Amino acid sequence: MNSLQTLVDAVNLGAVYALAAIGVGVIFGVMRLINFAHGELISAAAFTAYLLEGQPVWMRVAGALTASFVMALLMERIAFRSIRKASAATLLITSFALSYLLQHLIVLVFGARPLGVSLLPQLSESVRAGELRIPWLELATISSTALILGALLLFFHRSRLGVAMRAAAEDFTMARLVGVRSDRIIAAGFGISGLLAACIGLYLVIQSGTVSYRMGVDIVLVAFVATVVGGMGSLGGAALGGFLVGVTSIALQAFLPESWRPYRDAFLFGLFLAFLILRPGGLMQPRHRREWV
Amino acid sequence: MKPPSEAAFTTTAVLIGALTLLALGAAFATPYLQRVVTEALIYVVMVVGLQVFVGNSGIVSFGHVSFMVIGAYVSALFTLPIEKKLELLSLPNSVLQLHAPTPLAAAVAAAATGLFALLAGLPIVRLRGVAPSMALFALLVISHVGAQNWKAVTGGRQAMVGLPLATTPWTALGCAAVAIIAAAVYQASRRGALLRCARESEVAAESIGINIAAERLFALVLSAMLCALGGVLFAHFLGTLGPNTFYLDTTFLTLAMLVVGGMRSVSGAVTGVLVLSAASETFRYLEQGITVFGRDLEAPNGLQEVALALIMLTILILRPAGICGATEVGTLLSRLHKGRRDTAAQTRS
Amino acid sequence: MMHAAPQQASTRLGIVNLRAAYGSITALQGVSVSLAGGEVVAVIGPNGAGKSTLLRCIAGLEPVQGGGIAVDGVSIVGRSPEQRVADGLSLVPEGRHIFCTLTVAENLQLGTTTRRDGRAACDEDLARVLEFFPILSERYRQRAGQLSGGEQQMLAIGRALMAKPKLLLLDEPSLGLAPLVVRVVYDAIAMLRAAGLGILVVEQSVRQALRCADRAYVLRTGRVVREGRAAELLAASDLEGSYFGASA
Repeated sequence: MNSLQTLVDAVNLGAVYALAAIGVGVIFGVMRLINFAHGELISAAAFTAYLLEGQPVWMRVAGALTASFVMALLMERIAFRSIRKASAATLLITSFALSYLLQHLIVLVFGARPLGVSLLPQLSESVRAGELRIPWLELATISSTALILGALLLFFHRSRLGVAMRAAAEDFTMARLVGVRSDRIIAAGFGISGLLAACIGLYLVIQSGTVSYRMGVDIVLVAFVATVVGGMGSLGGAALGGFLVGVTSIALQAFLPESWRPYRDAFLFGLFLAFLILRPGGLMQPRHRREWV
Repeated sequence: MKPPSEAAFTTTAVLIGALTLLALGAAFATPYLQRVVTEALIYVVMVVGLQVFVGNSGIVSFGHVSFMVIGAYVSALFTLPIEKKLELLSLPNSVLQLHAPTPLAAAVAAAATGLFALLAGLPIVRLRGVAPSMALFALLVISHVGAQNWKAVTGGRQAMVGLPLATTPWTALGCAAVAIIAAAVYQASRRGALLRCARESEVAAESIGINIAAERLFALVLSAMLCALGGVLFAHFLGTLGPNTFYLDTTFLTLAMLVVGGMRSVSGAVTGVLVLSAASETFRYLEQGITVFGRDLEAPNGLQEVALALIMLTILILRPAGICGATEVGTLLSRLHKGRRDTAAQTRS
Repeated sequence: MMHAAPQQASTRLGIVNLRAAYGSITALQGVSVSLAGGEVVAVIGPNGAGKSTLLRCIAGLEPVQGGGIAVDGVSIVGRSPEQRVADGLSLVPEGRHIFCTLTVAENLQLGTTTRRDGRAACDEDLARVLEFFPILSERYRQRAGQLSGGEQQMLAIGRALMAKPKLLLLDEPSLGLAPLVVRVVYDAIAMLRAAGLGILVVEQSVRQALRCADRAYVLRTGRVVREGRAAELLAASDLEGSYFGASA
């Protein structure tokens, strides 16, 4: 077991999970909603790429991005806008129900069985360097994620909308009192979430060559874990959390004794539980939680 | 106004009475309908169990299915025929030789699950915000992975087959009655009221000295035991038990039933089960194809789940309190009775 | 400072017979308040009198059950909080509520969210705010959470000013601040009044508020029980009576 190989695998998975965590974290920041249906935003992109098979790559990618983006905005407008002021419990269950609905709509249209899809199969080939065999996809993922993270950083610190979103995530009511439009902020949050979900959808399509109605579920569970670990409300924390979960996941896979390997997910969620209990604020606690009692 | 215990008594009587009528009706119907009614009664046990915790504490639990899983597997340990156990599990012989009649096994399973809930719940009930819900979700995943992989105890991915079919409409009814009584008594009790205070405002409750964690834990343990009972019933209804018998689909269905009926009342839990069971059956029937005015209609596969989810979403968006809201049948009846008495008094004067 | 010349003393904020309730509890039972440009009006009263509710209603955070609120004669009832900022109202809420994870610069920049008059005008006002509150200039790039209580209060006011408001609403500006700092804050209020801003101050600290204000209203259990020129109220011997309800 080449440890450099494992390191690259770990960084790759960490990158994917970081994007997933930010996608979930953005919506939590502006709306205090844990969006279970994020997995279906991922599926939307993947199934769009599947439906556009035969078309040029740029069209499939653009289609996937658009599909998730639009779906996210629709989701916000139709399902979540009217319950914005509802209790955290209602928001949680609604997103759960929405996720279930969308999954089974996919079953209705596409059936329950995974479908094969081919997108950029060249990326599955590996670059060789001595003993290392690193798939091009992993290199592409790591570099794209770095670019995306950079773009997000610029957005949240240099653009008016980004700064407004950070303010709203910290103290939504006060943001409104300085004139920040709540509708705009929440829609922007969903839009960004959709775009990030599309990236993950494309990754999964290239990496596994299949699409199925449940493809988003596992990643979204991990995204929740990562967001909690990183500290809900902090995007940097979400990214860090996602990264750590990815790395830990690979590490567990590599270093757990053979008989314990099937329990990897149990370990992961055990760690999650431990984190929740011992440090519920996460790794990067947002310094002030402004409560309007 | 009637004291809460009197209204609770009325509620319990009405609900159990309605379910008894249902079971009686089924006794004269086809075996298929009997199975449908039995299944509904089992869900009553599970959803009422869920309501005890979710309704009174205000914490959404995605993890109650883990209690069903544990309850089912513990009882299976006692009720699975010994030859099957020897084949499937690898435990010390003395343990494998244990056998008990299903009711006893159910009681042991409920107790064991209660203990598990006590231990697992200790750290979870102290969490704030969405954390307890996510923690309970983690519990679900962990129990699922455990059931799938702990071959020695559960048999792993291979389903246990040959469990005695001890669940009849009457046993299910009996357990449903037990669940309803337990939930109503708890709700009317002082403990239940204290927990509901904490649900309304954690800050206020703490300031008057309520031990929120303790109250939550009590509800969690009671709730877990009822869910475990439901799990036992279901396993002995199907005759088989595997790691996928209870997982995300059951989580969704039981939550949907609770939400649609009304999280905050026992009547809501029962109503939700009845409404969604009826809806589910209707769609199942449609999926098989019906003939309307000589034209064959067949609903596509998967329509059932979509319809269920749509019903749940509609309720959440338009009437988040659910069909019953927080009103128990007993309270409703006493209000009507009082109304009638008042008009009678008015006409007299 | 903010405006070229002192405004005419015409009513800029008119509140007539305002009624607000939380469920079955009536918080405001027909409150009427007016505020003109270039004047400071204080709203004082005991705890639970409805002072904060009044400000929250004006800002749009609470729905009103009856009565009217108008800015420059135009009703703002039904407008969202964001829209009211664009209408010229700026609220500095109790507890300051600055964005601690953002820098001082970002906090101030956010104040200009509703402005349409271009970058140059905003930069001019930024320069003026920094001149007004020099400490903000020093801490310009620091995270707002690192500021002291008094500095945060100044940041909150500066941020509100960046919206170029016609009317400034201050909820308990002296709460939790050392007396020296309170003086600085009230000096700032006086200067803003001189510049033509209409300022409504809700205060628990009666003396300080009345010393600075032109007029005042005394609120008790959701009603205006006394109003008049601040100097008169300050001198009135039965002010405590109005406060605590000894007199009619």
